[in-house]
Amino acid sequence: MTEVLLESLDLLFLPINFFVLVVGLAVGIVMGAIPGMTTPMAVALALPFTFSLSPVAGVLLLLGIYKGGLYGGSISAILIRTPGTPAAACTVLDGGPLAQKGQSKKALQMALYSSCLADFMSNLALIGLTGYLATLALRFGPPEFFTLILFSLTIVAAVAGKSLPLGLLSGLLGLVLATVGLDIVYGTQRFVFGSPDLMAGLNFLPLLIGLFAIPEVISYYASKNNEEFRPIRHSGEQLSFGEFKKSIRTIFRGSVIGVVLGVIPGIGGAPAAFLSYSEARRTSKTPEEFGNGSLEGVAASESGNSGVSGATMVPLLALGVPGDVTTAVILGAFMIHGLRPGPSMFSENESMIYAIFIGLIFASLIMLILGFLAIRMASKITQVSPQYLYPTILVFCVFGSYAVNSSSFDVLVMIIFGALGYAFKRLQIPTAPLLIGFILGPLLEDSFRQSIRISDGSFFIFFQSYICVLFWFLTVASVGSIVRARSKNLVLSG
Amino acid sequence: MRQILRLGDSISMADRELFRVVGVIFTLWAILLFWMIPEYVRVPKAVDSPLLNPRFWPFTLACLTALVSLYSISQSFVLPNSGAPWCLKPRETAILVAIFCVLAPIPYLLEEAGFVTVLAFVALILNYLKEKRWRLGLFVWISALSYVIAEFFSGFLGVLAEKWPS
Repeated sequence: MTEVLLESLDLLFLPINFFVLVVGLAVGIVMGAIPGMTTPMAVALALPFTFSLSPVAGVLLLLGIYKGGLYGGSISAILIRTPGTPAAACTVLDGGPLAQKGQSKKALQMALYSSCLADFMSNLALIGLTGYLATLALRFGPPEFFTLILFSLTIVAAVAGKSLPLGLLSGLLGLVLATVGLDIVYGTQRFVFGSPDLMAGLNFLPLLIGLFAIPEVISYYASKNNEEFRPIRHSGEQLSFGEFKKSIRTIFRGSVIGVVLGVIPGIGGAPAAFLSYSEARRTSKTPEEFGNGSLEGVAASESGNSGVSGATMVPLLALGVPGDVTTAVILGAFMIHGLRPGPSMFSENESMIYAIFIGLIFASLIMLILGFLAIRMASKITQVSPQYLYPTILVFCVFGSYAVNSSSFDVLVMIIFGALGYAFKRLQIPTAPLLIGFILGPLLEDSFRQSIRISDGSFFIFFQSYICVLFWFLTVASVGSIVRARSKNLVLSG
Repeated sequence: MRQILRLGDSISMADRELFRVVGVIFTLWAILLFWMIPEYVRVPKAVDSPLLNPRFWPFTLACLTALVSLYSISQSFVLPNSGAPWCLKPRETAILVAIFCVLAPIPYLLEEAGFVTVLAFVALILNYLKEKRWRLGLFVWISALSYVIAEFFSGFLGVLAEKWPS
């Protein structure tokens, strides 16, 4: 083992490796902070640059972009209420109000610390528990996946705000919107209305930008009182150790949730962030602060989505199965260099794997330093006058929506959802449940139909494994606690 | 659970208005969905199981939307014992929801009874707009009767047109 470690260190400690890691993280943070520039897009664009690099340097460059992107999304989510990446959508819920209160620096620092800590824990899980986590991932078939997503849907209650029915309606609308496109089993059209643009369904990013960013812009132009939009001349105080300490349990919980969801292929950072947020709110002593500018909320969201980063590498390295689009591109990078991820990789390229693992640990530390620099520069955004800021946001919104598929139809989708988001804002309907419904809808329906096809129409498949039973139990317990909490509130208010 | 059902007790009048508006909007959206599903969700010729039908999922979601929006509307009512003016008793709301539950899972019946269902919802909305109760009942029954008569005569005229020597 010592020999392997020494070989790994020999492979890793080359200046070029650290240089590409720093470049990758910096590019990732910048790309993640720009709405519409997604992490998979940045990773795919960087892939050709790995051709001339060694396998270790090439993979570290791509992983740096991936990890930097996961954190970078939180910067725009906090400062301009526009999540740079889908995974940062949950950070808007508390990061946005904190920035409005003039505490953007605290929010950005909490996001940075939570991201780095969760990323570090995820890397440790990747190094120490790859075998166990890969076994867990293998046990997740369609029925287990269905019950997990069903449990995740209880998050709606956490982000529903003051009214559960309004949150449920918003979530149901998200689930309906997720059905648009071609049916996955039979390939027939659903709500396509003869438009080829709708065949692939509604794109996630234009919907996200439309729901979160456009209502802010409309509110600014529609508002007669511009006082509430005046620039904040200070970005607030530093995050104190006491405030960080209060959220430490939330960060650990979020990291564990991120790791567990990260190893399951196809879930991604956004559901992990929302689930972590929901659990943090459920167990918090001050749940009423969630949604109104809670540092704990930012910590939960960021630890959830960054906890996924190392764990998504587990199915890729141990089984050769990419968990999402980004890891699929990273799989391509491995294959370009003549490596085939899978069980045999650990025996054939052990020293290289450990070199990458150790590089990932360094990535967390480098991200902390780069994050500080990013906060210093990004905090100045809050001081920009709204008459310049909001048109710039609008330009980024249009660019971000168009850039995904180079399609003007996506810009139209963004505008329509912007109008819907504004209507929701006026009617006090929460938009986060719509987003959750839209993210989880296809996963829920596909896993349900796959299970039904496997079982020939029998519902018993959803109760056959202990994982399913566990998630049913958690779902029932979660719904029970929601009902209990609501009835307690009613008794108190009545 | 009783506390949850008696949620109306602790809701302010402004929130009641909000529940009413949102509930009505989403009820109309649910009705639109019921109309759109047969029109815009294509079903292949052979479907292995009703649960795998491409319409199953949207239809389930439409039913849930309708139920939650009706629940939302029901929250806009003020309970009789609170001393404030009220439109429908919770029991009456429950009956309306129950009727909907019976109708909703039967797409064929819903398609046939679609007109009457829509009218019932219109009547329900009229009731929220402080129409008198007897007008509501009359409106529903006259509408339903007109529908049946129109159906009968269209069928009758169709048969006549077929038999008519050209």
